Amino acid sequence: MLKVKTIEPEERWFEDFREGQEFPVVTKGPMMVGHQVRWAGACDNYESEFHHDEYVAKAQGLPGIILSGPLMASYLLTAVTQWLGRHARLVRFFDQNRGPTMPRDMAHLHGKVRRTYEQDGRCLVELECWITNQRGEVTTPGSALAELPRRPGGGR
Amino acid sequence: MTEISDAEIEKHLASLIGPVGEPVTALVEFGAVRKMALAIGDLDPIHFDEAAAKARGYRGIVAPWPLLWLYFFTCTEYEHDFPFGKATVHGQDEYEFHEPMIVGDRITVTTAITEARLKHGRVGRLGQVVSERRFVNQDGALCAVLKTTLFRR
Repeated sequence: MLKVKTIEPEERWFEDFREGQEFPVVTKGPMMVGHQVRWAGACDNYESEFHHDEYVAKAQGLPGIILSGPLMASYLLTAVTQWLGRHARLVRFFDQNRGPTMPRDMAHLHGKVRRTYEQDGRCLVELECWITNQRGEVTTPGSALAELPRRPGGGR
Repeated sequence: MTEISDAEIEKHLASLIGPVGEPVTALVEFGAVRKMALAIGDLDPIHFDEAAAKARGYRGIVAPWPLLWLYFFTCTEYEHDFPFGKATVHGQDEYEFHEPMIVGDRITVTTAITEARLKHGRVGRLGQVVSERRFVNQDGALCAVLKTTLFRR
């Protein structure tokens, strides 16, 4: 197998995050049927034909192929892990499939720190995250909670 | 044909509550981890390289959390047809993460329906069914809990 060119997330610590902090927007797309097919392969699930066959989707009354909600959520979850850096451990993640993503749509992944706090000796960062399409519509609102270590030696 | 009554729907939904099928165990395979990491664009070396993963404190190559969906679809029953309404919408997902899933682990998945209720929304009857899948490794450590909410309209 060819070696994959990997990218290690940045080194970040609990002290690097503050309430209201916004993360750089990550843009995916244009989304294509191929993205959906690759996801279907990774999940070994091809049951919902409307996710990859436009004829079936339209016959079911849909406007066209709809990309899988968990695929879009997985992009968002991945962006969260990249924003929070290599030391973060995700504790919780939530997402809602509010609007469809269709082939040739763009997906802009957004994130913002809701709060940072300590609980039972753990340093936690809570954030809201969401996907908007090229029309600015929120298709996938979400949230996440992650644990991070303090910067060794203290200070910023 | 007479339309199914609210009472019949509620009886059906109540009957869904409880375990679904038997627990199923799957091996966390490197090929599956690689395929999922590439599908979602997660290029962190901990998903591809054992030395990189160990240098970051993991037992071995780490599965990206969305790999839960592979086990969701291949190890558990995904019931989304109901005797009322026309369409089922995959509404939302709530994840809890604990012990990372590592290549070579054996993950046992158990499924249960934890909530099933009928609501009356603006556009009529709305069934809400929440299923919970728990992912436990070979040492009995809980790796993740995934709660999926389906809406039936």
